[in-house]
Amino acid sequence: MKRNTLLTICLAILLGSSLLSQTSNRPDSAWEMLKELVLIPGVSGYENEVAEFIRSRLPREVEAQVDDMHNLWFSVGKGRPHLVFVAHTDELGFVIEEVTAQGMLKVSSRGGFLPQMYEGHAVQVHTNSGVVEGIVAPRPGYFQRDLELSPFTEEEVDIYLGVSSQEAARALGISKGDSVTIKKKIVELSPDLLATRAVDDRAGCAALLDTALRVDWTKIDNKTITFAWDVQEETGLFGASELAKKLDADYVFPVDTFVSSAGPFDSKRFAHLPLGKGAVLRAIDSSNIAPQAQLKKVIAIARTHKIPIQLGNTRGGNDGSMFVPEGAVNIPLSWPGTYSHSFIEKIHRADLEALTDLIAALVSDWE
Amino acid sequence: MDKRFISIAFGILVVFSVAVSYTEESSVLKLAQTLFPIPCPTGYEEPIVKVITGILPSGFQIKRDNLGSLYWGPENQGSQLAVCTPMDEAGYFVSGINSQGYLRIDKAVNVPSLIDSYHLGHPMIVWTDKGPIEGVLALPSLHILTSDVRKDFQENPGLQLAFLDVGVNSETEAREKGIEMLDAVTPWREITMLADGKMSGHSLGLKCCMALVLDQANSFSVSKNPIATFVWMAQTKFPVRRSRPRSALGALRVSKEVQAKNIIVVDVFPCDVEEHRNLVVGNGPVLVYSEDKITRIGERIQDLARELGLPLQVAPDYSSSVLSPFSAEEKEVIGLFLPVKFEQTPSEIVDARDMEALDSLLSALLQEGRM
Repeated sequence: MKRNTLLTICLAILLGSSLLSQTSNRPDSAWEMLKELVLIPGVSGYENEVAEFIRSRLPREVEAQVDDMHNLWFSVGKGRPHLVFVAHTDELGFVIEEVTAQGMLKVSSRGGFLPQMYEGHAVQVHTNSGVVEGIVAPRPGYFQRDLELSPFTEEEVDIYLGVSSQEAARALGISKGDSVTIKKKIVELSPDLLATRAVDDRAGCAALLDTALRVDWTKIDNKTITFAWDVQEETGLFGASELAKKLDADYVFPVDTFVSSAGPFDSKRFAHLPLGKGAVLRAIDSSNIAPQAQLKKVIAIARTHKIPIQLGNTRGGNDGSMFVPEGAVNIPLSWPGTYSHSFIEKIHRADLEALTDLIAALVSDWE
Repeated sequence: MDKRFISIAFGILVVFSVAVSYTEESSVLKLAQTLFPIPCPTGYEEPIVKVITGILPSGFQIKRDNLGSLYWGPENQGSQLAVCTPMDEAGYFVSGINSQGYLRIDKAVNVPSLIDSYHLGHPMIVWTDKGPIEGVLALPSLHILTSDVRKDFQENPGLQLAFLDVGVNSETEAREKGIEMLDAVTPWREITMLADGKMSGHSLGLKCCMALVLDQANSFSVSKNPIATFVWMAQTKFPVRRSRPRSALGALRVSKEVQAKNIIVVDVFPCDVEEHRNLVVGNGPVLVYSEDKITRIGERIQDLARELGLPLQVAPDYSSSVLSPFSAEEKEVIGLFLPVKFEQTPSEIVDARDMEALDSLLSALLQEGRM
């Protein structure tokens, strides 16, 4: 009898853990979608492939709209308040400005980063006829031990494709205006921790998409909910600026990285929120101060749903700030991330899941 | 331990194989792909030795010297020729684990700090007894970067800025993952296929050289009586103290061990060096010798290149720390080098046509020696 009971308990535990694991590893979970989304190229101004991926995954019952900039959104419900949740689809990278007579590519940056991260590494040029791989040439004299170093700027970036003439480069399909990304690699530091390029803001995109698939949109009543994936955040919040004029939001919830100082180089004076401890309310940053009353409201909803949440201030701007001049209240939602604007932006699965749960709870409970 | 490394490294290889599969592959290219993911920092050559010995034909006894170099062939049967190549790469090792679980790394080989800095902000692999562990070399977050840290990264980058993040929060957690002091650390590597027959990857030139020698060894079965001894030399990136001209430690040991009088060294030739700007990747292998010391074999290589219509570049005044120990032992030594671009960076470039030409030249030479 005792033996049978023990067996039953063991089986139940095994079945339970198996179901739990299936749930968290489902292909449409934010974590799994993030791994797909980060690999899609989408330099600022070239986001259409990312937008198309998201559009293709949206639930059938919502009617998606896309504007000329490739901002993507859908709205459900009617009346006030109008809640807008927005994440950006673009990422940092380069755009080709010139193909030299020697077949090298000269570029300009899209967004803010240290170009030296690219030096000596493989990149992908996204042409109309497909991906062409190249190498960002190390600076002249790179092998000299006494080389006096100065900042490696975008003007010094030369992309070598393996060819030695402009004609040969063009024959590969290369054109002025093609976008360039690093050759990406997802580093899985543990089952719950990864580091890669474009977590900013594909994690926000994935959280919104996961929530969009979880919400029962037929039950949205007495308010309007908009989910938006906008463009050109990294180059000046241009997509958000357009959406802000169109959407007439009462509350905007930009979903983007909270730049945490949890890395080894960062001063712990502020922004020191650890990874793995929950979603973040990005109360103060370089573009916004969220009102205390609204922060408390979000925290109360999170507590009701037992969602782990952290509160902090950091630097950087967010898309929601473009909605404030139009009359909206801006309440940024985040996850703590380290190594921002690098190829190894780090994120914890528990934080992304908490963020997704929080968005779903706000859709449901915010009045 | 090594078997586990190798099996996982082979797993990584599958990805590379797919990437490279669209090129027309020769046996030497396939061998290079096999060797490419295997770690071999100086002093940590055992994993690559295991792979090479697993590929070599059986028959001859495999000999090792006490620095780890690997010898295969009829060394004790009067072989007059040895074909030698380095088998170690510049790499790193764990030199500390701090209380937050970040690994500090150091190097045994003198590489310019700018080259070290190319790995900051990129994936790395720690090769532990429990298997490979992926990590990333940390960077400061750009949004909260202070001007002092920015200046350090831009003007004085190097290993003093290297914190290897393996996804743990304490030294205990790092050790639970299997990480120990002096574990080897290498960049995560992948072959990038470029246009016009070129490809790139970390230490790709070295792996191609090792593959070239392995391909030659493979083409001779014991019954065909190979005329040469083949040597993969350990610790060649480490110099002999106070040596003039500079001598590679592993090559010095081989020069004393090997009985053959005629030596061909296969190594990489850096085309980025200012004084050799006239030499180009894609224009054929590079024949290296001291101006007053071209050997009979060197002359024959030049003749063969002409007869077979193979491209060959010549660098009569190139100083190589791998060649010099053999010269000092009064061996007849010649270098048949593979030109590379962006040497020792994460994207060392080789041209498949140079490899094929070098392979053909070596093949013709060794075939001729048998007749």
